[in-house]
Amino acid sequence: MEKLLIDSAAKHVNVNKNKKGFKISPLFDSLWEFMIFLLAAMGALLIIMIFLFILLKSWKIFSASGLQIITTTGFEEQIRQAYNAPADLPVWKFGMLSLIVGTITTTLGALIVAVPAGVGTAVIICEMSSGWLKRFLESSTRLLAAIPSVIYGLVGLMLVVPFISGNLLTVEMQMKYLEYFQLTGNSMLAGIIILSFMIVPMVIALSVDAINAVPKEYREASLALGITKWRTITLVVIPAAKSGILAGVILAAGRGIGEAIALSMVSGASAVLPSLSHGFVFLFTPVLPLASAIVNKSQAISIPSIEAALFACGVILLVMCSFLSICTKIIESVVRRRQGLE
Amino acid sequence: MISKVQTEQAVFDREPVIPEEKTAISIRKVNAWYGNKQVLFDVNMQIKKHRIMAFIGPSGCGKTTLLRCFNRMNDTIRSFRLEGTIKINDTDITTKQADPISIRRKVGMVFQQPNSFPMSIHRNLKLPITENFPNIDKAKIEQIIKQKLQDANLYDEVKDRINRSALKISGGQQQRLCIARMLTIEPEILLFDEPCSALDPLSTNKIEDLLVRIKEKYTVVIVTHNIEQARRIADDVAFFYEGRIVESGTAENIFLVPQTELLERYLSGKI
Amino acid sequence: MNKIRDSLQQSFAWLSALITIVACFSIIVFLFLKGYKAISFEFLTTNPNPTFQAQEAGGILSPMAGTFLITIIGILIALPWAIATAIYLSEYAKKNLITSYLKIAIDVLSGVPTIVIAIFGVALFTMPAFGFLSSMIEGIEGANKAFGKSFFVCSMGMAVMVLPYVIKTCEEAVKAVPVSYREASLALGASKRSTITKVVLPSAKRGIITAVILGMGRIIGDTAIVWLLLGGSIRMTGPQPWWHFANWLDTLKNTGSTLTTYIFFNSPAGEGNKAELAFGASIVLIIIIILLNTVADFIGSRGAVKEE
Repeated sequence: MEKLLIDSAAKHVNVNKNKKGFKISPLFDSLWEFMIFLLAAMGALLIIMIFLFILLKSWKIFSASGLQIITTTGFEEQIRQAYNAPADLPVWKFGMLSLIVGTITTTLGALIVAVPAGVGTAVIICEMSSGWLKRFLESSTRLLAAIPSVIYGLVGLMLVVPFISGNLLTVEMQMKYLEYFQLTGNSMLAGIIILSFMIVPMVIALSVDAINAVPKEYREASLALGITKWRTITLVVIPAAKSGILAGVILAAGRGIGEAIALSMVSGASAVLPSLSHGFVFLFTPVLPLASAIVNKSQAISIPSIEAALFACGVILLVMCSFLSICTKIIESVVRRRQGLE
Repeated sequence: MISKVQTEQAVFDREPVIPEEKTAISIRKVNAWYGNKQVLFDVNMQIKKHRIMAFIGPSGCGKTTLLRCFNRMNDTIRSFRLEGTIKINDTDITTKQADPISIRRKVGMVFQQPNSFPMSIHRNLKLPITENFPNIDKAKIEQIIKQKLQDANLYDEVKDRINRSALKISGGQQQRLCIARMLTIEPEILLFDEPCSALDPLSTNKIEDLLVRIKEKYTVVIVTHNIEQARRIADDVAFFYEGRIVESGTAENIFLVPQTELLERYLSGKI
Repeated sequence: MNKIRDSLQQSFAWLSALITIVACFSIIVFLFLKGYKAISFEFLTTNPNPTFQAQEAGGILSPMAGTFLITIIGILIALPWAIATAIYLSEYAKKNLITSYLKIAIDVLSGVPTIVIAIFGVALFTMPAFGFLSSMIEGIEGANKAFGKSFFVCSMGMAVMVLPYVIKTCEEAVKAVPVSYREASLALGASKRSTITKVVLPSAKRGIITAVILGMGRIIGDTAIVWLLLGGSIRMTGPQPWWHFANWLDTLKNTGSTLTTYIFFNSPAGEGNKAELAFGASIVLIIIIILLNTVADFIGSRGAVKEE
């Protein structure tokens, strides 16, 4: 293989020398290098452009609302006012607290389900199974990861939501909470369930990578100390894989925060601020996460102030996700340094 | 070549039989395979208590394989198969009924590369203690940790950074930490698989001193590539060649009056 | 006591593995049970109609074509860009601030939600300067704005979305080419450029193909970008017949739908309320994605065998 390549390289060099008209000048070489750098730089500039563009587009919202945008509620009502406002008196003040809380609760709920389950599955894949079972688990995980979010939304809408409204909700509950919100099956719980299935393959994949990267010397050392295989996994292997697993969890959190379509289909699409004082009905509250709000209200995007409000949602989302992306690297290196691996 | 090795097996057979109570490990007719490849041929041996037994021989001759049989570490290799008996305290450890976990508590092992866990030094030592002796109180744990670090000649060097990562100390210190960690589970037999091959001469010295010192309390089996090392510390030596024991006996006999041409050539560095 | 704890932990791990498998299969089975009736030759070969009558709703020909168009154009934009960036990062980049910024930027870009990329597309492509990619809004006084929704625009959004993933996979493929190949070529007097184009890239071919397939999978499955940059029209809005050679530019400058928006539209969440058609389209979408995954696996495993 190597020899073959060297031969082919030699041939090309000769071709360049023989055909005089085809000889490539150093100018062309530096032009090519410049093009490559330009394209790479464009990719890197994209993120700045994205941030600047949507920030500019939503600047009026931020300057009019100030900090209130993240401390007050009433998004639904403000959208309605903005929609009906006369063109010379647009509404610029928005409060997105309920959207932010909706985003955080659905993502956090999904993480609470998906992280233990994902790490557990990864342990089974890496340490406890072999042969067909291992391959079967791996391909199931990959398929779960590849299913488009709109299909998760569809399944959630046709399977999870009817299940919740049919089995978990009673008429009395619906009557009792009618003054706050309508209890349909579309709820935070449905969102959490669907989101868990969407992020679990991510947690599995990154945990599998992290566990496979743990040197077998650690396992041998632990076994030789008379520690059982299972205790070796929980006491030595998983702690040694901690930084990689954490990176997977943060990545999964980013995915959850940014998920728009599936959540807009199942989570209720109504910007209610969920309250723990409602007891377990907290889980049945309809919520509107930031990303879903953009999809949900996009029909009214022709109104300038609503457009700006949706861009403001985008800015908040972008800040949250960029923060998480940067955190991943930092947390990973802090953990590894403390373990002495770096 | 093989026929020659077989005739020289007789050298071993002429040796006097050691009384049972002084035997730590007794090996009878052990054959072993990786898949279809046989790696140990009809090995017989008695390893005596409170002495240092060194396995020497060129690489790939089965020394490490035999060593890993003593604490069933070969269980982790799927294709490995063993016939024959290995007795520790009169129980055969090769059978299915024998519990590898309790065997490994009796037979500690230190590996070629220092393999301290990516945790603090303290946690490295505490982990095997709490796992093997679940009902032990905190003060006792601290006492054992200090005691074993002192046994391994490491306490003074690491006492100020006992809560720092074990991967931050030098290779030699890590290897002594691994020895201390092994000692925490109170084994009877200690296995060393080329413990100094990754270390500098100074660290090697420290570990050799340590081995000589601890043989009062334990039985030590060490695999080494280094003939000088075997000469310095071993009481008994077994010379392996291509999966067979060619010659074994006390260190003086092996090094001063080698009986076989193979051993002579090995000692003079020709194999 | 400890044994109980261990067996509880083990059962939990096995249970979660079981749930992963069961979830995967129940989703597939559920889709098939609900949607197999919708699938017919006609379903695959007719265009959809926006109507309340289920009998006249038509099929998914143009959504499939829409998915195809967006995937192909999106990858055609993203691939050269990604390869150039991967080459820069692995062959030219020196260890300095610019390079580490580049790497962080690509990392952050891969964490940007697709919906944010979608609204970025809205902000960018409604600018009048980009009107040539869609069409200008006419008839509203004072609105100097482009429509901002078309197959072109949507494909560009998709290219931005998959760019970081394709860069990462290409970079790994390029980095996996042994240094000895490069050295051999350079030692023979080849320039750095021809070493890269004639030796490095051909050796990294398999990884680059994998990157393309993974990128295609992501584009096919995305809904948010299509929703905002292609819009909610279920039919092709360009001049009919949309597939005609003479109309291709107009088709691409106008809007339509893809399989994902078709599903969204026909689900109870959209306006169509024809869930059976949504399930039928889901089956088609899942089959396409499984096929792509299988091809990627096949290429990956063949590579692994060859390298052994």
